[in-house]
Amino acid sequence: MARIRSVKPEFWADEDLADLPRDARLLYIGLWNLADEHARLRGDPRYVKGQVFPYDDDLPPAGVEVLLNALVVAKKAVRYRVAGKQYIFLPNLGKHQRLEAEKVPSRLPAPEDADPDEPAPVPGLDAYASAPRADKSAPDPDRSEPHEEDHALLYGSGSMEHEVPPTAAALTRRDDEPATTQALIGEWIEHCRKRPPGPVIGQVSKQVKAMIEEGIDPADVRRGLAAWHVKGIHPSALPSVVNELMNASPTAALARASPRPSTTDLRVNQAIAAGERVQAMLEGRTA
Amino acid sequence: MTPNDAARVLAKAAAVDQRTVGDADVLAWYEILADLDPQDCLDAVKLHYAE
Repeated sequence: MARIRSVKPEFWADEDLADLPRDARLLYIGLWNLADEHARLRGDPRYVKGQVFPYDDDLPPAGVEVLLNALVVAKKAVRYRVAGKQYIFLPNLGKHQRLEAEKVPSRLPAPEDADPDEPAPVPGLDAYASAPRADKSAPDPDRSEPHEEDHALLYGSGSMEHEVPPTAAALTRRDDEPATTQALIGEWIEHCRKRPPGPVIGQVSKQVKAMIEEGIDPADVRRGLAAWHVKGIHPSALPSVVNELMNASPTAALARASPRPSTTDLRVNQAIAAGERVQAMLEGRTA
Repeated sequence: MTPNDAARVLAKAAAVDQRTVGDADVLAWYEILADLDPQDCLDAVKLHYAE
């Protein structure tokens, strides 16, 4: 049951929140409405998407999971799992809202009841303490885009099936290891809900290999692959996404914080994808 | 002209007029354009919208 909550003026001046994408801040406010008097709510991204962003066709549940994970990293939310079901706890809700926890028992399990044997939807906050995103005091000069970790981390966020998003170790691993085409493709497949069709894997591999051979930084390719994965567009658009991330202007970075895909890009990608399908169909018929 | 070429021609048109292009469109236009040079078709799209 949704509840009325109030937004204090301090919310807009909160520097921790300022580092989050705009959609994540809006989602955070939405979660207040969904949370019960114990600051708990159901945590399945599909449920949250339906409640907070029901009319946003450009934001699938996987995108909501990306935003949820960003809130976890910012220590605004804790995701946990009890008996196979996902829940969210908002640790700061009681500081800013008048909660009457003593009057109404929660229908949802407490974070302390989280199953120790089942992995949390995302690593706990302690695990994130070692993730690069947590160290805001020492920004890496090579990283001009403050939210890149968030975007990349959520790469796998669409994985409802195995439901074990990347660990902090996996996140820190990203830029330290030499990335081969195979490794990058492996990471991508690992984070897909279901294994993509062979031709799609083939096309993505081809694009990644070409970029690596061209001398593009594998870290850029990896970030591009993650962003492309979230967008769900045709593999032929992958180099454009990598380029967008590599050469983004500050304005473009801001725009990316709340992505609204161009209708023209969608139409063109649809046409190219239709061409690929028809080509494959006719080739299959003649083979 | 391949189906991919036909799709590129339609994609160029879609970039201008925002039409939606599906498999049936590609198949139909592929048959219509089959004997034409892909670049000629792309140029024709440009001329069509430039008029």
